[in-house]
Amino acid sequence: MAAKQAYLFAYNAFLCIVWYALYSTVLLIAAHGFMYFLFSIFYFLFSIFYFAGGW
Amino acid sequence: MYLMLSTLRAGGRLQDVWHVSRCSSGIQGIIMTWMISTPMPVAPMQTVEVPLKIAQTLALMEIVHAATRIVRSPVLVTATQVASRIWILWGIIDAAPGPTTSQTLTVFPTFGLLPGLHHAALSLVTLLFAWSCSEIIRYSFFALKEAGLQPYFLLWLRYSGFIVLYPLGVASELAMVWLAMPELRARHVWEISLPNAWNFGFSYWLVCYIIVALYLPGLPGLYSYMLSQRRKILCAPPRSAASTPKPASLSEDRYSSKSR
Repeated sequence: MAAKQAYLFAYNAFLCIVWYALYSTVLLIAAHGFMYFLFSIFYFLFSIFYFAGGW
Repeated sequence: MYLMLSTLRAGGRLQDVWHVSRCSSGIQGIIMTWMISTPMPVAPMQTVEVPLKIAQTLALMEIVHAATRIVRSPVLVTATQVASRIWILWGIIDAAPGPTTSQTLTVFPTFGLLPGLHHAALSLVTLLFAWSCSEIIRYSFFALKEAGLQPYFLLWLRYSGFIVLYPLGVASELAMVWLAMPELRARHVWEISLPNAWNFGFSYWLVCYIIVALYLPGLPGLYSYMLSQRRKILCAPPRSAASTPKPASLSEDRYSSKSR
C-alpha cells in the first residue's frame, strides 16, 4: 500500500511539475501578447464568480 | 500576494489569507485585464515540444493505472479522455505542425476597444494554457491526496477550473483541428489512396471530421453535468465524513479532474 501511494505521489508530483514548467514557459513566451490578456481575463472572471457566487 | 504574505506575517489565520486573496485578486484582475501589448515573439512549440510530448504521452500510464486497479477510475472513461488529448497532440499538432504552431483562429474582432489587441484568437498558446492549468490543478490535487492532504482551495479549483478551462480548451482543440485540416488534406497525411492492390482506401482527414462530429454533440451536456456536480460538491451543506460525496463525479472531463 505504501509503495502504491509513493508511486502515485511521485507520478502525480512529477507531471504536476512538468506541466507547471510548461505553463510558466507559455506564459513567459506570451507575456507581452494575447496570452497575458487571456490570463488576466481568466483571473478577472474567477474573481467575479467568486464574489458573485459567494464561493 | 503581498497582502497574503502580510496577513500571514501578522499572525493571520488561513481564512483571513483566503479572504485577502479574494479582495486583491479582484483588483489585480481588473488591472491585468487592461495590460495588453504586442503579439507573442517566440514560437511556443519550439520551446515546449519535448516536455509537452513527454507529459502528455505519460498520461497513457493513467489507463494502465485504471486497468490494473491501482486507481478507481473506470478504464473506458480514462482511455477516452487520454486518447482525445493524445490525438490532438500526435494526430493533429504533430501531423500538421506548420499551421497549428504558427497560425491562429480569430474568434471575434475587438474593434479597437482593447489597445494593442486587434482580435481575440485561439491558438496553440491558448491550448497549452488550458491544458497546463487543468493538469496542474489535477495532478497537484492527486499528489497531495496521496500525501494525505486535501486543501480546500485545490478542491475548489478542481471543481471550478473547468468553468473557464473547459470552453477554452475544447475551443482551442477544435481550432487546432480546423487549422490542421488544409495541410492534412493537401499533404495526404496517413492517407491510403485508391486504386491499390488491396482495394482499400483511407482518408485520415475524413476520420478527423468524423471524430469532431462525434465530439461536438456531447459538449453542452457534459458541461452542464459538470456544473451540477460542482454544485453538489462545493455548495452542499457540511456533512459527516462518511456521507461526503466522493470526488469521482467529474471523471468525464480532464479539464476538471478524474476519479481515483
